[in-house]
Amino acid sequence: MPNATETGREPAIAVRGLCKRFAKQSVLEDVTLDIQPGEVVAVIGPSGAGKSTLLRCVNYLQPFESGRIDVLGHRLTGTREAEYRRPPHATLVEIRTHIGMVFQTFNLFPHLTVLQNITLAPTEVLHRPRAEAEATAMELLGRVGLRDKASAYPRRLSGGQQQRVAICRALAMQPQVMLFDEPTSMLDPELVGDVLAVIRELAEEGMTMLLATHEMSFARDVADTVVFMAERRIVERGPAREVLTSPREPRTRSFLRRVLLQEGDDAPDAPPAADSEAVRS
Amino acid sequence: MTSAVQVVQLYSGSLARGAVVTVEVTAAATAVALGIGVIGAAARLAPLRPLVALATAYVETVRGTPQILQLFVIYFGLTQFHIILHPMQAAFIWLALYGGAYAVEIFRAGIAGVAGGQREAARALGLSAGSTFRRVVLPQAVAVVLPALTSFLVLQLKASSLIYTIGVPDIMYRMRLGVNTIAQPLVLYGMAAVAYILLNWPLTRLGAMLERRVALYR
Repeated sequence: MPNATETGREPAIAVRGLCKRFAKQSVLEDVTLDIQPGEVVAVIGPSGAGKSTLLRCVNYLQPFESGRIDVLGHRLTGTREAEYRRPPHATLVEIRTHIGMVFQTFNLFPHLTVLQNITLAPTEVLHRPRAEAEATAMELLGRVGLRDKASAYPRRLSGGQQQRVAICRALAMQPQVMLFDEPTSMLDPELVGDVLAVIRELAEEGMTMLLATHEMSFARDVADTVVFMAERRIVERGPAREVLTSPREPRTRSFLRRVLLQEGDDAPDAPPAADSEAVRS
Repeated sequence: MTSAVQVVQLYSGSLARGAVVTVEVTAAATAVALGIGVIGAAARLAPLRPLVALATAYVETVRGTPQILQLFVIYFGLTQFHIILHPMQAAFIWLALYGGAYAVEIFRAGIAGVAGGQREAARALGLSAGSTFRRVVLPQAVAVVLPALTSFLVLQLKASSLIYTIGVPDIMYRMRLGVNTIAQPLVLYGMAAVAYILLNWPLTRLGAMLERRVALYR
């Protein structure tokens, strides 16, 4: 499964034997995964499979019990490992400033305008001059077509607009890796396309990405690699098209059949959708 | 017997001087109380047991005892340890500690009401715990508890009327003095009532104004 040796490059993120539990409930068991620089990895699977938790461990929003994660030159270790020591604040800041995260529920700061949402971390964490941070923010907003919303408060925006602002907020830190935690599952169907288009553009620019998603056609289109998770473990991983169109594991097969039927989408062996509009139609 | 108009004329200067003292003590003590409130609320929600216990003990002690008892302990009680406070000092310390306990509870409710996703988003952006609290959690908490904070300010001003008992020359003290001199309690206490209402009015206006501003994003 690990492909670091195949490519001969240092993975951007290397997850080894990751185990995570909440109280007595196990949520991740022995998860091992490499993400190469520039690679787009989509994690699919039923809710409760541990997709979100995996993402949260990568930027250490969740500490974990065993295993380790090497991320951008830093090592995070499970709390029960012999070599465990609490990651120093500076390390966490460094990891988090280099990893952008986009949440299912957007989590924009409601008391700040769109522009302030985007400039908060660059000014507060990276100590960028305000004017510079604002210029960057406006440029990002331009890229997602929301320049005119700079002075609006988040509650005035649609879900799709909020999520695009949230992506700008993460990108303003100039991250090397982006984590997307089911970025479109809280959106009305007609708003999904705009958000996916922004993510697709990032993928084309070569951004390293790990995304948990329910959008199968999107995963097939944009991801290099698809990881199928079920019941706390990785069941199958491989090139996106392979896993989504001719899965090896029976569990992957039955999951895809169920999801694609629900989505009203084509069967697993149908050709990929041509553009983001077609994804949900 | 002196007429009501004469009483008002005679005592309005004294009332004004009393009002200055009331405002001085209340403003200074309430500013400190709000600071105690923020720090205490953070302590009550901290993942450190001793800190939580300390903050909880403070809040429960203040809430569980009468105000006048607290004031007397500070002013008279401490003299046994040879701590002799000026009445103004004792009044200030009492009102700050008394209000602080209630402010802790107000801010605690507000902070607990801020969605967990907000903290998570801030941390994912690399903000320190301090920055997250200052820039993300606290502003939202304050917005939530604005109505409670407005009543809190009003209650502080009214509670300050107890400090006359240790000889601080506030509104209450001076009007009582007047009552002891000329037998016109209704007029003199009426004047005090009007003074308290007039002092409280801008506080409630300020609260309403802030609530309207906050409504922009809530």
